[in-house]
Amino acid sequence: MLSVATKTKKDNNSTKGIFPLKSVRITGMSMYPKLLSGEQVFVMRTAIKDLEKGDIILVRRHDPFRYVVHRLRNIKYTERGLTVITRGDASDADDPAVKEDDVVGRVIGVWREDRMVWLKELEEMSYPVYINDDSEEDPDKIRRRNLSNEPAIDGMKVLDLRKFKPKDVKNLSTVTNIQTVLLNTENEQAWKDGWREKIGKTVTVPVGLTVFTGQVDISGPLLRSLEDRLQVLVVGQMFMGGVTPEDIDNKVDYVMLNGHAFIDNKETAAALKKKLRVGKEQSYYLVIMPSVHVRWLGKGFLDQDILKSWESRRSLVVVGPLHVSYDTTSELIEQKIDVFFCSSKVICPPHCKEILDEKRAVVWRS
Amino acid sequence: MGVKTSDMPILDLRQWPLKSFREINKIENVRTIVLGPEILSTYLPIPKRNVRSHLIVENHEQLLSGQMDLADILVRTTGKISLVVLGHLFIEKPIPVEELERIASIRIYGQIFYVCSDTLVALQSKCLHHQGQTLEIEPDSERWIGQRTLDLETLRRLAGKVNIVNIGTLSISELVTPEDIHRNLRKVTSIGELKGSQYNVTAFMGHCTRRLGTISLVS
Repeated sequence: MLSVATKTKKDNNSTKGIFPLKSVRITGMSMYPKLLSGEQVFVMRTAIKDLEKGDIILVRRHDPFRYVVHRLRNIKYTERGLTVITRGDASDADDPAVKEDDVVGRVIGVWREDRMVWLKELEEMSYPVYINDDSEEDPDKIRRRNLSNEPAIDGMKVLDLRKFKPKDVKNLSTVTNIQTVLLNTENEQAWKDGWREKIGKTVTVPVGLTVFTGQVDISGPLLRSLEDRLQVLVVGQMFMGGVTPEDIDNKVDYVMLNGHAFIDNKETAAALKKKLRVGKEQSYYLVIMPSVHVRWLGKGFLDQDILKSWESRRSLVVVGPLHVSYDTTSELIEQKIDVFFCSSKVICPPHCKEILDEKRAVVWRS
Repeated sequence: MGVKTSDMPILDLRQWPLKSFREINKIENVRTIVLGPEILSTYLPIPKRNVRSHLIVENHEQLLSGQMDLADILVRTTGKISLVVLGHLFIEKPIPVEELERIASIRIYGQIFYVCSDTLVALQSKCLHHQGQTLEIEPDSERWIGQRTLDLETLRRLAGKVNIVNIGTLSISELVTPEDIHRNLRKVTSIGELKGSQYNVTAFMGHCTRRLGTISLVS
């Protein structure tokens, strides 16, 4: 919830007053990344008829009483009059509706880095994005999808087709929204013949390979206990701890890596790199990362509260996007984070970018 | 008119007669479809929407689903076994090598939570496929399975003395403060959706050594 920090029930109506422009300080991350916790925003008193969907507005809520800066989603006519629906950009659900009288005004700008950032500039502002930025979907593909019939398969996490015959795979008309497709060497061509879109990864798996999709920890004792040399496919993340270069040389035949391998020393990473098999459409990242670390998979938030709660320095792996709160200080990051890696977007305030860059793990990529 | 099959966590089609199988014209909102090797050609053309995965279980394999302990599985079975585990597997105590030797192969679709790394290593060496994570947990961790609310009463009971393994949606009560969380939680391994105010969610994440899942910030 992005609340206005300085208001209390006593100053119930103080945001309206006679002045058309007010400044208020906000707390919370629900409007992240456009507005950041602790920032001062400027609100112009605005009549409801002058508001448009998508405006960022200041509204008053009563249960519990507080002021909230969120984006306007809708204005509805009801028996009780006009009601206004808002939602934070980082929230998954609409806020409870408020009445027309509870709308204070439209946010016109924010004070950031010693200057006024106007709303238009704010909406266009982009934040640091390191790797794996989402690419825009081809408009032609969208059009063709709308024309196509109902997909044969839509929305599967892992589509494992290794046991299916080429003719069955060929008969699959439309397949869409799949994170990972596993094929065998025989049906690989048949797969390419059909209509496929929004497919995350397609991997052809040789017979007899051990397959890990997701996250796997492979330890030195595991490798040393194996009778046969390891032939493994990893789609996702592989974490190797306590593995020596000799373990890799003696026990690993090859690794098909489509994703990230986290290894706790460079020598082992160099040995593993020699064993990697990478397909045409595949990519890998070898990340040098201490084996003891905090691991977040999915969307992550980092703020000063988390860092303060860590009793000692930690290394942090985030597989997914990471939002760093504006109130997080570079000193705290310096103090509490040893090595840092994020596989996706890092949305962070400018004052944290440099220190996070310094902490970033060494990465070798394909 | 055909049949639409929808909204179930596991749809096991292995025992379905081929005739009724052909009448299904759509499958949707199913977490996992379980298939036998004989019905693959009939299954594939059926339109499927929001089906997370399908799982082919060979005739010689035993399918186990839910949350289970490796030790219990071995007690309940005899002779050589090939296992397909659909759910979360816990290894909470060392298993003798001769018992583990009974496992010819294992495929796991879910998380492996382990206390004993030697047993994990022995099990991994039999693994043909693992979809999920391997997660080390503290001995005697308290398990929170399914949908739960983290409220003041629960936190006070924990009193900073218990480690937690949470699998499933966890909602943090709005009556809880970040200070309550810091005071009463120790290490947490958390898998699943996390719901709560931004401050409580970040306080909770400060205690997670392993965390997987989505976050819903509640206004």
